Amino acid sequence: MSLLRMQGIRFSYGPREILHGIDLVLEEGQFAGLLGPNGSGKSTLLRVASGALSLTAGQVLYREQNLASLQRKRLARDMAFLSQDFSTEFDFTVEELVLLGRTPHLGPTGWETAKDRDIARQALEDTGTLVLAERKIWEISGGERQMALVAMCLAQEPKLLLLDEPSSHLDVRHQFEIMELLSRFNRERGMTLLLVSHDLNLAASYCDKVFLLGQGHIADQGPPASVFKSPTLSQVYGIPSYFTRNPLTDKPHLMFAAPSKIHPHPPRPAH
Amino acid sequence: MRVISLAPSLTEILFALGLEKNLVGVTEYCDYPPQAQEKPGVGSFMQPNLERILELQPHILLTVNPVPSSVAFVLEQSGIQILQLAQSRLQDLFPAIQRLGELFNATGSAQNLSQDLERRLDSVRRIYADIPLGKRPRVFVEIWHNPLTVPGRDSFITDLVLAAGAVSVTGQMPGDYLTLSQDAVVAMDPEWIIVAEMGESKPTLDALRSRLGWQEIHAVREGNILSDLDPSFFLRPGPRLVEGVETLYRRLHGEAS
Amino acid sequence: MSRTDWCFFWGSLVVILLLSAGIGLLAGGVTLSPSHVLDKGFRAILELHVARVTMGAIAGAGLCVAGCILQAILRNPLAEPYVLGISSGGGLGAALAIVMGLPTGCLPITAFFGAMGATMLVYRLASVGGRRQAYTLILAGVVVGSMLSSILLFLVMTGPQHRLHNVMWWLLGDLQVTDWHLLKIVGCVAMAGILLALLFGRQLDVLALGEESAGHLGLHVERAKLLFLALASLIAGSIVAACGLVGFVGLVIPHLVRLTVGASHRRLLPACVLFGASSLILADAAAQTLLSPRIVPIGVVTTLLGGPFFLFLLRSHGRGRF
Repeated sequence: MSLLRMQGIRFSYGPREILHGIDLVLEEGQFAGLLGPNGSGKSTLLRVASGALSLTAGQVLYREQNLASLQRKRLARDMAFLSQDFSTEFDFTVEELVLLGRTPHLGPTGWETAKDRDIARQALEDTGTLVLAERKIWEISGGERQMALVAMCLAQEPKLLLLDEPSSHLDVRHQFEIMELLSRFNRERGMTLLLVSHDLNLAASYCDKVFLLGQGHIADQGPPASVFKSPTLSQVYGIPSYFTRNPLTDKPHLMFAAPSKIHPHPPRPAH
Repeated sequence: MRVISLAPSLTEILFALGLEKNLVGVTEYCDYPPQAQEKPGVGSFMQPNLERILELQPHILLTVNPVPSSVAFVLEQSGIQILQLAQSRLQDLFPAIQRLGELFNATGSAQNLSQDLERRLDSVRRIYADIPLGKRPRVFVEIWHNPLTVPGRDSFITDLVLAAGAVSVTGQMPGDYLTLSQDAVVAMDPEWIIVAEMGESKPTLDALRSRLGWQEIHAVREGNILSDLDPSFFLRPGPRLVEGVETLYRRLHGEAS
Repeated sequence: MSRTDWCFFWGSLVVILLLSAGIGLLAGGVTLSPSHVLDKGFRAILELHVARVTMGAIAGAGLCVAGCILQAILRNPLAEPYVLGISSGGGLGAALAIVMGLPTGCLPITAFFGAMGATMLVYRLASVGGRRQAYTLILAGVVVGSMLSSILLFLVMTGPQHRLHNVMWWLLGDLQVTDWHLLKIVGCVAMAGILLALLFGRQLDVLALGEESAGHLGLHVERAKLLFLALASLIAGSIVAACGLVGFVGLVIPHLVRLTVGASHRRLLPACVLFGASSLILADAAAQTLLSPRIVPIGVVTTLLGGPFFLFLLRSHGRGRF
């Protein structure tokens, strides 16, 4: 049984259809990436997967059960979502924020037990934000805040974690820190991850499988190397690419150039 | 001389002086004497109907309070004189009568009326003249219940109560009308309460009793509540104030009205 | 802050409330001295003061809680019980009762239904496409509020003059309730509402994260918003029904309290209850004694104090976070 199965997904924002019939299967324990240029619909698809958007056609099945028929709270105990543009007008402390991640596991009054506080603390430790626990979320740096948000998702103890551009506004070090952390959780706890990223290479370093979205369709899918080597990718992005491997990690790595800038005799791509 | 009255009290004086033939327009509130209602209406003091006033071609417009400046301007342009006669205190009654008498060359009637009213006031005064202020009935006048509105130092109601041989417990307070806190009334512990309101929401004795803290007030315990007095004695500073004084005196001393 | 610090904090708030209540009991149109409290002769006046202080505590606590709720579900620092037309609806309801000459007992009922009615109207107007976004809700509140105020003013202008005074007075707020029965009803409703808010306050934290985030945490966002909106309307509406309009309390106090206890409603709500009650009792004590025996309407005091405070808050929290 697959963890998440999306069948025939169609979604429109008003009169404009964004997703034109998407089929996607996510297996348990996978670390998958959703790639594609701007406007391809990857963020939208992720939000459809989370159940936040209502579809024009198609269905999303979580463990073969229709998402729409599942209770919100029940789903939230299994699935967490990290937004790209987290913004709240309230200045919570980091600890308060992370504790909010426990919500799906609490009763309607939301009284937390010692166990919940322990889980939150553990999440803070894992993300290296324990030292920031008493600080207000808008007083810390963007990278620290992003880590705190990851901690909040971890405190939810999800089996499936959906992330929308988790490292887009961060500096290089923080980008890798987050991906390392996610990778660790994927390996050690079997957490399934589906992440949207516009950074192809970062995704390729960590994902087992990538889905390439182009204009509301799945243009290609598979292990990063095969997707990167295929000419489909250049077509989708509309820019010539060159496949190589990162000398540091030996992971697939794509390079791009504007057509006018291409050297008349480029070296042969790696395998 | 054609005259329009914007004040019910001045209308009453004109009728009392027998000058009603000069009256060509009155407000919708001018209801005494009943014949006054047959005169053409010009709106109210607050919202005078300028066109009606001009149509009636008066020489003089009688008023108690200043007319809105926009109206005054037009009237002056049309050559209509505005005569303002203050009527906020009991003693204002007499200068007003005299002035109106002069205006219509009816000084004789004016003097007769004034003297008659003075005589009546005096006859009441003489009865209680020997009683010191401290021993006179202490009266609380409630003009409105929400907010609690009472007459102060500069109100003709206070004058009226005094002329009737009683003392208004709020009579020393500054201003003509003020809003009072509930506990101040309870602290003053009046012997009589006059409910001077008009309308359906007028509080009854039961309503007064059910007010928090009011059960302790002397007037409430004894049932000394006067709520059936003709409100036009209290809310209109005209010649009938004197009648009000007489009535009030009789009621305070246990005689039937 | 450590555990002992928090104990001290809550203890101080309780002490402040008790002191305020004490001051409130003595102050009034007639100021009592402590010895008068036991004096039988002053029992009636004391009764009036007790009623006033009780209403002050309930109104202060309730308006603050309603303010917190609205600020959370609208995610807007300007939100307060009156933004959503609760005041205009309540004012119109009360004005209708006055203009129709209904007995005073009807006033709270018509005001309450007016308040709830206005809130429901605003809510429906703001639900464009099934989702009630924060901005459209506030806009709808402003529009409905203006419309109802116009109707109210029209009623007042065309009615007899003394009615005008009556309605304007009620619009300025008066904590002196003279009917124990009314006080009990309003008190029970408001306190029940406050208790519910305290119990489910954590959901406000979740809503405060944003609607999508709240949904991802398993909250039924639309349902929660509607329930909290109804709760805030219930609390504020019943208070408006009893003592007219007391503005700014639900706006300024939550902000002040947040500066000390932070944004989490787990602490914010109880602190608002205690501090809100104390503040309003003290403000009313000042209003009663400043120009004694004339009354300064409590609404005037809260607006005069609240307005500048709010401007100050806006400036110091310039980045818009609260």
